[in-house]
Amino acid sequence: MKISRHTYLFFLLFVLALLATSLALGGARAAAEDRAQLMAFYLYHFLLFVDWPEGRCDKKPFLCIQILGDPELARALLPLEGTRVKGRMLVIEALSRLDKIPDCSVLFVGKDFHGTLNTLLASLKGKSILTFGDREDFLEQQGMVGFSLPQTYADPSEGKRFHIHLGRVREEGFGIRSRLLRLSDVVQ
Amino acid sequence: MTWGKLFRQHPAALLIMLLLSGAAPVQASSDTLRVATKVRISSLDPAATSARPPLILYHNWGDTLLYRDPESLTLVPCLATSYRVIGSGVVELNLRRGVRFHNGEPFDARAVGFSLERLRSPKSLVASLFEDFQGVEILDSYTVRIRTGLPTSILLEMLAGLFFVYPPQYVAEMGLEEFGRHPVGTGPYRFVAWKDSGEILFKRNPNYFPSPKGKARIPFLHVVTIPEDALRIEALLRDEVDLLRTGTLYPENLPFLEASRGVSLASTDSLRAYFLLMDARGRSGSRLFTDVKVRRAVSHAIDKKAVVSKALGGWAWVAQSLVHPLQFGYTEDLPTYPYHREKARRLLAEAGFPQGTQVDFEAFGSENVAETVAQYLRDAGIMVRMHWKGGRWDELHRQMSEGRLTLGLINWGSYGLFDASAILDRFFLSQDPLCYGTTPQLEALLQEAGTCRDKTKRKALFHKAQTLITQEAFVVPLYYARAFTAMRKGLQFAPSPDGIDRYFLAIWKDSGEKRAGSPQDPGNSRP
Repeated sequence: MKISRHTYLFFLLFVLALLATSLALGGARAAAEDRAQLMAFYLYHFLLFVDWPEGRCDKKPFLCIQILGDPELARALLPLEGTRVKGRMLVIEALSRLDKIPDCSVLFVGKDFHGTLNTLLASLKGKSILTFGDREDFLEQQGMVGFSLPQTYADPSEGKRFHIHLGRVREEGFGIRSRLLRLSDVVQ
Repeated sequence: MTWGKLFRQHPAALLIMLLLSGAAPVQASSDTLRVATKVRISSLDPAATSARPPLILYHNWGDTLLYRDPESLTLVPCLATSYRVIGSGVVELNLRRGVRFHNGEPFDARAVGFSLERLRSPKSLVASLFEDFQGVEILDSYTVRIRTGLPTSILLEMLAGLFFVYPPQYVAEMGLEEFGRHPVGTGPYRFVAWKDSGEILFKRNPNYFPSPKGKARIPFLHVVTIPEDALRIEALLRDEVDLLRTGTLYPENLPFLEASRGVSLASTDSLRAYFLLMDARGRSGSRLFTDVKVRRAVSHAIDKKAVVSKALGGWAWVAQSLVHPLQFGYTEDLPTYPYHREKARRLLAEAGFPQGTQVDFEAFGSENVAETVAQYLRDAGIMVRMHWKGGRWDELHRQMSEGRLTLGLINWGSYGLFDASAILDRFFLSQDPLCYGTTPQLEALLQEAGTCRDKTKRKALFHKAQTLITQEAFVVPLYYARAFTAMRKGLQFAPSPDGIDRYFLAIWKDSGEKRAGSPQDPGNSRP
């Protein structure tokens, strides 16, 4: 079938525009996935070296990690479901809205959560729930551990990756190992 | 124009369509291999430090007289093309002709003689291992005789693992310290630069001789030091590095990495022994561990099986001796100290510490293990003040050498040598700066084993030595572990049980390069 010069040029422009859009979107998606993978790593790493309230949580068979408002992070964590951390089997749940959160579990609140964060976090007190978030004001809003991942990997020899409100963490009975404190800015 | 003609005349359009469909591969191989290591590097002269990274890097920018094939673990000719044993204690070596150091200096018999003098010199940290080398006789430019009291088997191990070859002219001009900052060797990589940031760059040696190692597959090698375990893994996940040095990845993060896209894992047996070292000679000024009852208390205080399962996820096995099962001289038939906290407390009380005691505890290696061991010691009444060393091996080594260690969690890889002497001589011969406990009988056994040529007798001597060491509880052997590495998917790299990473063998899977020794690899066949 013969094509006209105009159609040929239009086709080339269309293909180029499609390529540019695809690359841009693909790049953004890859960046989001990479960031989620890093957060998943540090969340997992954190759980390896935190001590749960003795006598209350250590005998629980499951460690439930509930992700509220960050489906990318939930997807990045899903391959770890079924593995064990401190003898407890990991269960990963992606939540779009808040349901009952079991005691002795982990809650991550992502940027897509649009509710009242400090009300939510205040309601979890006394239940030995370890809370994480990546909003800049997470600790101000009653959170325990905020993520602090740099956009680029500028200096491989140093780096803080968490903000920890040590007072809140200890109030709930958690213990934080020194290797986590080395990676953290600590607020009392 | 037709559609068919469009695609024939503009194949780029077809390629773009294929790319959009995801049919084309995205990852391109790199011309640089980026390796992250944990321990800080103070010198690239492997005889100026006992840290493992300089030893590994030496085998990448330098060569030894023999070479250990990583697959068969047998020793093959390298800078020496052949050897023969002449009588007792003399080995004659024919040296490879036509080899030049990276600066153009020729490799010859003079370099071999010079190198032995360097290795035996007082400032060499491997000098004690070369004590039994009596000298090099130069017969001609490419023939030498090495006189040694060592049995042939251990001599050959050392020619492959520890006989580092120095360029005489370059060292004479620059001095050893400068050599350690700007090394010159004969190997598949050559040194390029050492940046202020600590990154070290090498590039492929285009004039590498036909060695069993083969030419480096990846043109550039870039080494960075990241002491913090999590940050090292982050660098890999971010694609800032391609490979974590074997042995710097601990089991706790394995489940995550196994599940990670873009990352693959490899592991190998490792000669490295992990143990507690106690100051039984009182060198540190503390008399605590000069009493065998206290040392035995420590031995009973630790549940080694629990350390292996809790702190290492089962990726290790309990050790009763410092000698690894793969090393000549290994024995299983040794007394044991079963975990028994009450017995530990009783022994401490008998030694005069009914309320327990306090001690400084230097810890290196796995932080998980250090914390677990510290807790066991505290439960038994030994209140340890733990000092975590991180990546500062040279600092800890200096502390140990200067007699300032009372109790330490350390590990030793025996320089990759498959012989018990490589670890026992370092820690139980009194003239060695790392010796914190010995007896005249133990020393005599090790010295006799050092020159005994009868394999059966030598094995028996090592057995007696290890029995004495255990009875005296000079050390608490904890475990041997598999050594892990993680790398970007797309990289093909296999770690070796001798603990020497051969970066020159690493290849990108899609590069089309073949590994050394394969039929498709001309110019690099074994001699």
